Amino acid sequence: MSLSSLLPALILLSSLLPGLAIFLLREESHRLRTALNLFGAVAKLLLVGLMIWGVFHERVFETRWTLAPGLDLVLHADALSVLFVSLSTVLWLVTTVYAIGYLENTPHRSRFFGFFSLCVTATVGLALAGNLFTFVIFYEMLTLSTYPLVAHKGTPMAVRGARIYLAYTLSGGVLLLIGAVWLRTIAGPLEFVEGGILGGLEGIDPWALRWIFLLLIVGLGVKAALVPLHGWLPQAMVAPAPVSALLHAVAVVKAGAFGIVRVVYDVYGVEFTAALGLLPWLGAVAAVTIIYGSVKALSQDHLKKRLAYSTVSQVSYIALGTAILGPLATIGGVVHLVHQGVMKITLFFAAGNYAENLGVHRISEMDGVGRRMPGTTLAFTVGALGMIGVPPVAGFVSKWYLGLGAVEAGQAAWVVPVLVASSLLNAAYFLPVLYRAWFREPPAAWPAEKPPAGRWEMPGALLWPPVVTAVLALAAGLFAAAPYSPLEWAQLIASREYAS
Amino acid sequence: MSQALLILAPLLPLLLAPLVPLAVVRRWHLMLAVAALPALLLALLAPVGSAVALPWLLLGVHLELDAVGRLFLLFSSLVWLATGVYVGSGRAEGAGRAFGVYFLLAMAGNLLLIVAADMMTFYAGFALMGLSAYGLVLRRSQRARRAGRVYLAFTLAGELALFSAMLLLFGAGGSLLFSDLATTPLPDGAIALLLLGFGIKVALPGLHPWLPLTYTAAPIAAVAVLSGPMMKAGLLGWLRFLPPGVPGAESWGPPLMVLGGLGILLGVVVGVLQRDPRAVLAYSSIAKMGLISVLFGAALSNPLYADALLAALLLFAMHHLLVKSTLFLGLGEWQRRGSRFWVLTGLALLALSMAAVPLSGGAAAKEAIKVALDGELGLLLALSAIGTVFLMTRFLLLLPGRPARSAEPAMVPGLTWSILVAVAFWAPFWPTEVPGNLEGLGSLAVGAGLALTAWWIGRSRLASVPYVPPGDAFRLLARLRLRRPALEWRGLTGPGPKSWLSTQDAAQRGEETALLGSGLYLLAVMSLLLGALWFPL
Amino acid sequence: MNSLLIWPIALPLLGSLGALVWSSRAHLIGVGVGILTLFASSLVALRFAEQGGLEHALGGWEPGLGIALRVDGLAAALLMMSSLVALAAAVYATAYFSDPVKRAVFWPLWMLLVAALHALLLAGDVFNVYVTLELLGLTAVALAALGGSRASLRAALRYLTVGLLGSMAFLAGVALLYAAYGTLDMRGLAGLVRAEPAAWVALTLMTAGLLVKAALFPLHFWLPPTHANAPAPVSAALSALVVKAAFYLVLRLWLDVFDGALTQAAASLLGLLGAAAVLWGSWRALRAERLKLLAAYSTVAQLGYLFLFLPLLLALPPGPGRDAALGGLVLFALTHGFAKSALFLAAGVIQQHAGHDRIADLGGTARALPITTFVLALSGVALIGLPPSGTFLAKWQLMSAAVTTGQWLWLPVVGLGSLLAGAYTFRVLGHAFGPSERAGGVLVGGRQEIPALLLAIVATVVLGLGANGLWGFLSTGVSVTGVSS
Repeated sequence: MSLSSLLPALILLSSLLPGLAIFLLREESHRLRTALNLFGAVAKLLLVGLMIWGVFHERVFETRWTLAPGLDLVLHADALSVLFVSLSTVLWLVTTVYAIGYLENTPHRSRFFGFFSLCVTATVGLALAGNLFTFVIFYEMLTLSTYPLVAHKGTPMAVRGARIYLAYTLSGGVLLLIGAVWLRTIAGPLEFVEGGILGGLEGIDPWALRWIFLLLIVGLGVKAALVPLHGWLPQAMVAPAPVSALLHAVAVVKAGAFGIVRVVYDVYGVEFTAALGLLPWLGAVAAVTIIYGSVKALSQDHLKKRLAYSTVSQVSYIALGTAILGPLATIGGVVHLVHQGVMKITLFFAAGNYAENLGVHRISEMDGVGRRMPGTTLAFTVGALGMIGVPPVAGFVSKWYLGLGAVEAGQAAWVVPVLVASSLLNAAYFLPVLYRAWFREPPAAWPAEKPPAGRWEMPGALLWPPVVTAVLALAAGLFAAAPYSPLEWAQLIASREYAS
Repeated sequence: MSQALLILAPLLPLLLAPLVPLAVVRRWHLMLAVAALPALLLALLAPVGSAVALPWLLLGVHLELDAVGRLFLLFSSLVWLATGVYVGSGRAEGAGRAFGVYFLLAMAGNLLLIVAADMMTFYAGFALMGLSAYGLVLRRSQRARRAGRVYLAFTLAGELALFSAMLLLFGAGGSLLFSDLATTPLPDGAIALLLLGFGIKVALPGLHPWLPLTYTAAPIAAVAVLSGPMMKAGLLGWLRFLPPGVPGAESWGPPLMVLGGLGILLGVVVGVLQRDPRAVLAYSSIAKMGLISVLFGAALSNPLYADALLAALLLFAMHHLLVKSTLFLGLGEWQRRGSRFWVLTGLALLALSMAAVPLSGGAAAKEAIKVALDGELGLLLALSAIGTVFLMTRFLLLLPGRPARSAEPAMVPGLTWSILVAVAFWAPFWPTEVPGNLEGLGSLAVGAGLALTAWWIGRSRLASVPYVPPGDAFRLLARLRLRRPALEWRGLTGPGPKSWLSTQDAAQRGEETALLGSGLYLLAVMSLLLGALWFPL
Repeated sequence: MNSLLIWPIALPLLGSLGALVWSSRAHLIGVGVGILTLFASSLVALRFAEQGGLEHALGGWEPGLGIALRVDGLAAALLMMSSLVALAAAVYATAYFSDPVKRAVFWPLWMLLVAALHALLLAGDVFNVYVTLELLGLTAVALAALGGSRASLRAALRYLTVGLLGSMAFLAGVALLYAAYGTLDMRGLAGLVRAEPAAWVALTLMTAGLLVKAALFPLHFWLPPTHANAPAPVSAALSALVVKAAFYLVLRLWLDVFDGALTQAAASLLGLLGAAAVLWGSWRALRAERLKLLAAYSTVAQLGYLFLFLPLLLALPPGPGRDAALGGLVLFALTHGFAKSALFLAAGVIQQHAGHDRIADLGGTARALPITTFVLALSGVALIGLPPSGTFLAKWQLMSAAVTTGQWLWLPVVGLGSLLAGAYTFRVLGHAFGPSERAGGVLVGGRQEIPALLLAIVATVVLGLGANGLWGFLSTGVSVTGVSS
């Protein structure tokens, strides 16, 4: 049992064990719970750092456990999994801090943080999954562990929203399972290999592969909120802000998108997928989702709902990048995994702050909020500008590479207008919000204001996370060409995918 | 040293911007004045060809000072400096700390794009400038908000057109550097997008409605920088992205020239029917940029003569940059203090320079153009000259009767402005050449005569003089009451969100009509144009 | 000759006698014997793992005349499960019955049930099977009637009637077999049975009888009222063990004895009935208003899954594919046993705390009993077939076999069944979230909650993560069910 076989399992355990322990804690033990949370998050960060260093130096980390004949649970670290794991870990730490502050003096915190840790465990598990079987396992566990988070508040609306969430995700899970079983049965063990394995296998009926692809993508597309499978996402906004932040930026929606990337690149292989004629369909769905999500976002007055539809739209950039053949588009799609995560989480943190501090839930209530809460609104502005694609915030880097990839693949004629239209729509629904926040007079009284805590506009645990993630979003764009940036990592992944 | 200045020029205003809103900073208005100094020093002192590369920033940032850039930098930084002084002193309307922040940000963007040697850096500066200017335009009036929205819509469209063009250019050439662009055959789509995108900034006819709306509604200082450095940034974009002699662009010259001609016509005809001096100046800008577009188009279609044409174009543009901005600043001074003699004199001098009165910079520029065009397009030039005189006269005639805001004597801005007037009158030729041509007197006389006649007629029959509101075609379109489709859809989980018309209050709705309307209008124009170009008849 | 095989039967039998005599200490005897039985079963399983198939002829009489006891992988696995579940339920039962009369009656019957069950699992000939089946049925009826209410009495009586019908059919089949082949020993029969009318009729009769007892659609109507109205530990045993025993017999007959006389069509028929059971049972569970009724219908559905395996097992050629599917089947049966018993025990806890088990009014109770709610969640996960439960792996094998044999129909059935199970599970769990007032109620002790928790953990974690050994376990030794061709 060397470090290389233990490390993936340890990374999982670093959130699983504290989570289980937190379940057993009494509601009143704040300090212990906070300590466990932070300890787990920091431990995970350190372990992931170790893993990054290792993968960069071509070390192999793999944990393998046989569950049944021919069905191995495999945790494996390659470049793509490391990217997603790092994103999850960093954002988990930030969200934990935020959640601790946000949920102060609310009931059922032990239950919340227990499932919170389980959720991150599941996310990390599917990030590190080394084959489709393992991926499916952690994908379902993610569904299970996020349900209680969505239903946390316990109001009838929350329970209803959670039920809708569950209906969608369980259905998607079933389809994904059927697709995975089918594929495993006709093609053998499905370890993820950079460049895909199916292309090299002989004697498999291409139509079966096409149907399987459909099943897999639909199953993954539910979580990735591809139209028309996205219906759960706006309903899930009843969850507390830290949950929405996590769900949209890191865990659920990203898991779906990440799964699509895995299936296309590491199971089928992108050239083989193109040969099967499947990429145009994926691209079409992605394009429709991008536009539809933005159009729906225009008509929302509830801030979180607007952000939810924005997520629907933005995550499909990843699917779009996957659907265009060529390393540049791959870079754009993969790097957007990181960029969208950081920007979206900033927006949700800010939304949570508005609701928590001022009782503001709707955009029509946001007049002049920039004066009252400048730090939060500044972070929101950075995130919003990134979504629109204004340099130097990270979003424009993803759009640039997606556009370049489209030009390289000869697909510019339809991709670039989609990108342009999406940017315009993003501007149309974000800029008015910014305008209200910065350029209008605040109302005489806010709906439910809390007195300012000390010098700053909000308690630190709520203020610093969005600021930190906004800075990260800015840095990811500003230093995109610098070493160790997400862009460079995405370039590494793309080079390995196309090398074969 | 020059490398440090290259970096500092755009960086200083960027660094100062976040400091302005902080309450602890007392002398923030000083920052506004000082921020453009590195740029000025750079333009005056640094040798042409200084460059610095920062490969780790953004997607690789390359800054360089070439001959064209130096000219732009010199004149732009002068204007920023003067406007900074104007804003920083006393109660310029709408100028609080917030204005200062956007001012500095726009300055940073402008300066960045001037010294940019690669497409991405240019784009970053262009986007920063365009978006920050929104904050400059905004005031607490319905008109200003509306103008701001229209401006934003057009600016965004322009930026996105530029983005798309850059994608195509990179795809064709594989490099982001401008120096590599000169030898790359440019795809047609890219050229069209570039002409469109920067055409918005330069207010080509059809893409111009934002300009008069903005110039009449925004604070004076904003208009000063908008009409000067920021408008010329569009021209710089053309010059950078479509360098003279680039293969593939010849066929685009004639259409551009036609558009330019239309622009001159539009600017003159509609301009004289305006009642607001600002609007007159706005349409004058449209006319002038029309002429510049004609020249640029000529340069595109005749690569052999491109050098001479561009030289004349540059001089003309620089002259216009300085004079127009100074005119607006002067208007501001007028509004502050009323009809002081020295203000009136300055304004008159500027108007005369613009009208190419002999011994002025304007005349020399006009001369240069005539030489470069080598006798072609004489009618157009004459029209342009007469039209300019007409407009300038109208402008001066509209001045009396404007009430003063306050009578406080702020010495510094007034002094600065006066110096600027002097510079503007002769620049860009002073102190090397003193233009001494007397030929322009003819057109001057004709134009002035026409104008005065019109004024005298109009005075007695004021009611019958047609009035075209600034924003002309766009306003007409908006009156058609564009209705958006109600977005209702019963989702899987029950009734979806209500039509977004009903979820927002009426004012918001109205403003967003403006935004969407302008967007649609713009898209229609652009797609028509693109279609017409794509499918040659 | 392995006298070890006697103990799992003898111990509960003796215990039953003991509980009859010492009725005041009956519960201690019950738990103690349960522990000893578990011990004995474990030894049997271990011995099997070392040596392969075990055999024992009672009294030295060889098969043909005497009673033979046999164990192979399948039987050993089920033996372990039943011992564990019985022990857990017994621990639970010590705190369940408040009425001393009921208590006195319960323990002897309970241990008799366990003895009958173990005897059935270890039986080596068909007549023995009949006897133990009858005994099992009668004790089950008696225990079910302990619920005391009119509804439970009515249900128990119906169970009795229906069960007798099934037993009659079974006996007729046994008689026919003896008449046709002259022996009742299962191993002997396996070599003799061919595809001829006698075998078919016998098979039909016996299967029909067993299907009644296994509550396969459409013969399932007696199960929900019975299981829903019986006392909680009894329901646990009934759902987890008794109906499982009937299915075990079907498996044994089909794959071992009548192996030469089967047709794919017949297996497909059972598969179709199983599919109908899955869908109908899950649908009814979704509509149920009481928790125990929901659990009972869930049993109907889950048994349907077991029958889905049959056409697949028949269609697969002997080899690793078939072994994998068979292992999946056993894993499913095991996991369901643990999960369902945990569910019933938890329902019992809730009923004791709140005085009722109406799902719509569960809210406060669910929040007051976090451990029990957790048990509900875990067993729900196992019933839906989500990882990390053993059912997930079993369903994977089921679907894999369906793909391999081209029997595509089962895939959507499994998918739909899982979704419906998800619906009814989370319908219940949804009540656990809500405004946080705590409802008052009867205090519930650890003895009642812990057994359920342990059972649920086994179902959802242990069997999910550590089940790989099962396949190896099943294929130890020579006489493995189903591999013999």
